[in-house]
Amino acid sequence: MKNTATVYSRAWYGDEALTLNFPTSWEVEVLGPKDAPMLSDAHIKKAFAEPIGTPRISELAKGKKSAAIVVDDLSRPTPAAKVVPVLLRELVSAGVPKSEIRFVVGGGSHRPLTDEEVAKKIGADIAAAYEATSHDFMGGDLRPLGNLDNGTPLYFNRVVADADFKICVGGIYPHGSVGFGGGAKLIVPGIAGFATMFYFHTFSASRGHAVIERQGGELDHRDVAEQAAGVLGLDVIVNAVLNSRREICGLFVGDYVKAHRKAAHFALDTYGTEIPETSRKETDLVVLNCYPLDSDPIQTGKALWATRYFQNAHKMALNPASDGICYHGLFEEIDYARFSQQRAELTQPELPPPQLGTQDQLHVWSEHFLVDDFSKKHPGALLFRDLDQLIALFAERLPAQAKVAVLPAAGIQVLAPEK
Amino acid sequence: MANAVTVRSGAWHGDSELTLNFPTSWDVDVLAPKDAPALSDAHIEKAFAEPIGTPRISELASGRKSAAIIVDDLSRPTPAVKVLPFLLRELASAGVPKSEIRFVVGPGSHRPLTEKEIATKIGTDIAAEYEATNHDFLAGDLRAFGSLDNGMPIYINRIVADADFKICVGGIYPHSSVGFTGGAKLIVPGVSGFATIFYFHTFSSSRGPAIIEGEEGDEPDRRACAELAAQALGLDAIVNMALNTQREISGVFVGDFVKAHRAGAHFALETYSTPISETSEKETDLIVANCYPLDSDAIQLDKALAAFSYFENSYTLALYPASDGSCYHGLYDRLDYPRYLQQRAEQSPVEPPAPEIGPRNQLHVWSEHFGTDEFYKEYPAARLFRNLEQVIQLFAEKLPKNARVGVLPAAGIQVLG
Repeated sequence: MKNTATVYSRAWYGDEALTLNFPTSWEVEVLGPKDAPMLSDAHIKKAFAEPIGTPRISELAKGKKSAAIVVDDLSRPTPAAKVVPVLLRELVSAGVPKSEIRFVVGGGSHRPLTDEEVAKKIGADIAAAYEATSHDFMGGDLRPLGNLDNGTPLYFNRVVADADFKICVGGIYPHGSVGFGGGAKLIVPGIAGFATMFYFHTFSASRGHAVIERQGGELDHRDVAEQAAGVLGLDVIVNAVLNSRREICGLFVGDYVKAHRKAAHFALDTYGTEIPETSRKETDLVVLNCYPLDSDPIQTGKALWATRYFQNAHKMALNPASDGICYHGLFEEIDYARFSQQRAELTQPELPPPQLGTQDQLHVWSEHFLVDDFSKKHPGALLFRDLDQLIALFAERLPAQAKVAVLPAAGIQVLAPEK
Repeated sequence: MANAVTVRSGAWHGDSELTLNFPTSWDVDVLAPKDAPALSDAHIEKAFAEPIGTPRISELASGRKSAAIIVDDLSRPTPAVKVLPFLLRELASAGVPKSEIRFVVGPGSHRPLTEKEIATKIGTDIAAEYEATNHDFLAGDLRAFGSLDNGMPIYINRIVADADFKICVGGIYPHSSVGFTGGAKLIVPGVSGFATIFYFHTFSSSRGPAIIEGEEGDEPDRRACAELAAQALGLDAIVNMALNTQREISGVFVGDFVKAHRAGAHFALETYSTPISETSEKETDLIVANCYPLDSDAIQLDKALAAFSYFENSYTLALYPASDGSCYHGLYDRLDYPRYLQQRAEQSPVEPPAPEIGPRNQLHVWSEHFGTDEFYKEYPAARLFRNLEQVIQLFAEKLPKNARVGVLPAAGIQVLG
């Protein structure tokens, strides 16, 4: 059928094709990113063989008695399992004893992962063979490492701080306040303590969405994260850039600044999305598919960057939020145990009957975003459970010849730089 | 003059007499606590010689290589200087080297003291001879002691944590959420980190004002959390004082951080207790709470406010010089002190609005130094006055000729009822 658009959906929970059936009279435009093909195993090996700004890990880690591998959590689509075996070979070849290699999930103040989820992230075999824990930002056993000049107190996960060799395995995704995720961001906030994170979020300036180098004079979030990583002694990063199928299309190994910047430039290019002038003016409905950042309810915001480019459009976001748990300890100022307890005692309000809002309002289709969390997180927005029904409501509202624009991987897309 | 009442005012900033000149036609009722006389040096010495629940400090500290003495800040009226010579003699007699005895001001997330202020607290001679620092709740070098069963992470000042022998020198004052201050409260929040103080304030339940023992519950209350943390740290002894209305020491309690604290709290409850007659409760037209001896720090006003609920038909006036002027509470403001100072320097001072008496349920505050902006931010529904004579004059115009005024001369420590 001509008027369907097929996108990917449910990262970590099936990664399936999702077909959007629009009325046949509509004009459907898919505004995809430039994108890039999946890397082969040989490409991945090459990235490890030729790191950016550091010697090869097999040399760099020589003589190190232990290693900590920090990985991101499932709120991030990074398929770490694809690169971890190659990383482990480097460490083994450097002579780091296998029993002294530990994984730490650096979720910042997100929730801890279950064992099953850790296995999803790093691979079942590796999870079975290595010790893996989730960082607890409210833990009482963090290592103190002093203050940065701007006052930021530094407290880090003990497993990571005590390891002789420290590696961050993450992904490069557009981010509102650090420009792009990845690099030292898995240190702060990734494995930092409450005091550190509080200070970081409250007192340092934003770098701006998808901005690579600092633009103003003031120390910003990425600067602070990198200074903190310097104090901790982060040895190396392994950062992935993904394509719109959640496959690795770029891999950057090496120095946590140099490799990160190179990756960010690659990401800015492949995530780049052209939004033609006519689309900006004439689109009646813009559909933002949050994939591949669509498992965690709190990541919906990352897909909304594009809405401001569509002057006259209704707005719809697709975020299955498969994880269902909407927890961000720093902002809610609560630890996960207490959050879980409060949540268990809460009766979820009924979803209001499906009804479209105004053009300014955000319409979100989500299978698992809880009604209560949704209204707190997105006041003024409308939540829908049935996608076909939501599209049918728009069909009633919009003109027969409506123009719809679909951003298939809005969670990672950015506006292409002007040529 | 028959209708003048003299109270003390300006703790740490002169402790001078303040005379309240009420209209001669008013009926003035001074509602004083039971109170107690100042202790002699011999009494203080006896408290150290016969500690509660621990051996004498000279024995307890024997063989210890270093000691940390935690003192409260100037928001607390505790005259630590009076007891420190006795404490230092105990430590010397235990054989703790003088060079290894350090003072740490434990203000929680209040501002750090200047050197001069530290000398005011611990005495000029002692301040000159010993190392003394302020705890910084946002420092990056705190020691980790794990978490309590309820989840509270424990981060403690490094000098305190690293000392071989740990003593808290504080005071016992009524407090809305820990019952009475003192004891382990100088550990949490006194010398704790941001995460600890945050967790403590957010998730542990209040013990209630002037309540000495907690109730059995699912979770430890605020005092219990502080005591569990002190236990994890290994707090060795406390030296806690109860004061009289002249800011003199009326009781000293040395020993175990639970047992000595409870003995101190019982003594405090007795001497701070202020009977209020039914006539006063019902017929007082104006209640004047003199916040002394907790009247130096601009964030302690609340401590006197509990009193107002006793007087059913009364206008309320708090006397609160707030001599310190600074209104900083890092935890609540979510701000470190340098940034607070910077923000404050960028503000231009504002004068209070034209003096006018509000309705009965509104709080009227006379304060010389409470910044207008900060006052209205903290107490949006209250009214600030700079001139005491004028505010009394305004009340004279408002109230009946034979108005009955009740004066609480040391409201900061009085326990009513």
